[in-house]
Amino acid sequence: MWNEKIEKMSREEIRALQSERLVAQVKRMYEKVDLFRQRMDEKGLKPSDIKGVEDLSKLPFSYKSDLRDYYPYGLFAEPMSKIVRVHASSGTTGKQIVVGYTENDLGMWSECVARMLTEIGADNNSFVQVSYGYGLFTGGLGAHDGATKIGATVIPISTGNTKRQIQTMIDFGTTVLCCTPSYALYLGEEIEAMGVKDQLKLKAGIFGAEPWTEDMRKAIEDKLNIKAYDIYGLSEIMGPGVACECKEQAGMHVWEDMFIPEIIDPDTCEVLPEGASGELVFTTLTKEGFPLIRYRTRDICSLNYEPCKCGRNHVRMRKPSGRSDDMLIIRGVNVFPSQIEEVLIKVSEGDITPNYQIIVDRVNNNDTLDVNVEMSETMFTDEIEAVEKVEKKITEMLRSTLGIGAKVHLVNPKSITRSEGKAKRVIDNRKLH
Amino acid sequence: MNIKQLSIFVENKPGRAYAIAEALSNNNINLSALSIADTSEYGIMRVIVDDPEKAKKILQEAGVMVKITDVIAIPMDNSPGSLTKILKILTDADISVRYMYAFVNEHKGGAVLVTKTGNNDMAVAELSKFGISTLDNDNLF
Repeated sequence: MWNEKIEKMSREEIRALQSERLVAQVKRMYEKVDLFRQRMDEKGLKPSDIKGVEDLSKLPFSYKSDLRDYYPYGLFAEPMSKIVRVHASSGTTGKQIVVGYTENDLGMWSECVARMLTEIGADNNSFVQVSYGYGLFTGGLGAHDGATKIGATVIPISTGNTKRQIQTMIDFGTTVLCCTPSYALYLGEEIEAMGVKDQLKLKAGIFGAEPWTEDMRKAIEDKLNIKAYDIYGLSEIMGPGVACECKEQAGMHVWEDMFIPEIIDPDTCEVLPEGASGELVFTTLTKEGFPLIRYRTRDICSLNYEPCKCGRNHVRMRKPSGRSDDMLIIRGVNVFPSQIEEVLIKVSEGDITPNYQIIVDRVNNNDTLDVNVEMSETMFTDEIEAVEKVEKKITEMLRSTLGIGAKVHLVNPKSITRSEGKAKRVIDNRKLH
Repeated sequence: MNIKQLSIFVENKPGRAYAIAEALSNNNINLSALSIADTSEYGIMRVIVDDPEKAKKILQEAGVMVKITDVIAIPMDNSPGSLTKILKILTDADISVRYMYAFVNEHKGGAVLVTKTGNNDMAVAELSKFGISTLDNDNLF
């Protein structure tokens, strides 16, 4: 184990540590984060009312919309002089959301990933190929820093260029692969097609950032001849590594020395009993730059507090089985239908927003995003060039807003089926759960 | 003189062109000329009909995206060289052709070139200098 003292803590020890840290975090945030103080005051709560984890459910929730309302730095709890990095992800509107990290925060994040890498057998002799995107997306740098921490040789190849990815695996002797599960499967198929499977030294892979099934796991393990492990995270809480699978592959351990997970009923907001399925809520206990209390992830899952065969007592979360909002994860990128609608509002320039439909599918292990847009008066003319221009404009605006490509199809007016007068906006044909 | 053309959005799906033709024929609209500009996803069908306003209404009711566009209809002989002659006039006047198509007009023993140019009014004026008077919807048929 990377950090045996912490990783092997008993439930009582975990709870005691969490209580101590929660009290300190609430006190700190009350002083430093205006929104948190306001919400505490509205509830008539003082930091001194929070004496331990048993008081967690008294605390106010925080929401993704807070990140939009206080964009970019309004929720940071440290001055920008202490913030050494920012990451960003999709918001529910065209505007991205931004999170910040102090040096200590980056240290905690890499600690999470280091624990997982160590658990799956990686060490300073490993070659870790990071095929997640590098940049504002947390995937690339998150895996990178964790692998650096354990002293592995990091291959920061980022996404794309499948042939080069495979050649690099062969030439550089990659032993651990980090990417999205759908890309892992795609790589596996290419490797089979190239007939180079026996030249690989791969032993394990860490796959996350999008939903995947047990069937996909079996297929990846078979095609790449590795063990495939699941990792969970979200930028608001930290990034990949908030929860990680161990060798047992029986749920992802949430690192409870840093985070407290809760499961609530998304409608009543009541905390649900152990084992029940509901919305996952996180509290960050140790984050400095961008701490959050009771953050509503909108992921639906359940928690298992049974001790794990691996020797850890850190609670295990099941793979999220869905969302309590309409967010889609496409090629690892969070996409909200409202972002697409916003683009169409801009394109229609004050005219009636065209009716649209989003179709998501998985073809050859690659997510596809198609947007059908009903042709409107303002968009149509007698010349192909002008219509193509409209199509291209929508395509380009979608790419820059969503961060991923979408195929735009202009369709006949009123051709998108409406039920009870309301069009069904999203059709997700992928079988992910 | 300009004539009215129907410009119709046609999704590239089986049965779409049929639906348009059927809607028009059910309402006794006669098509004189037709061309389709196409991409892999959709086409723009351009048609000349005897009653463009009525046809537009029928198609709109059938859920079809349609617009009326001004184009010019140029009478020409159904003989070699007549198209060249017209295009030379337009080229010499530096008028671009956005698109064109032609049909044979049985009743009048000639052909008709339908075109949308960069500047229809200028094209009409240039052609008239050479004794060519463009047609309107009434004397087209």
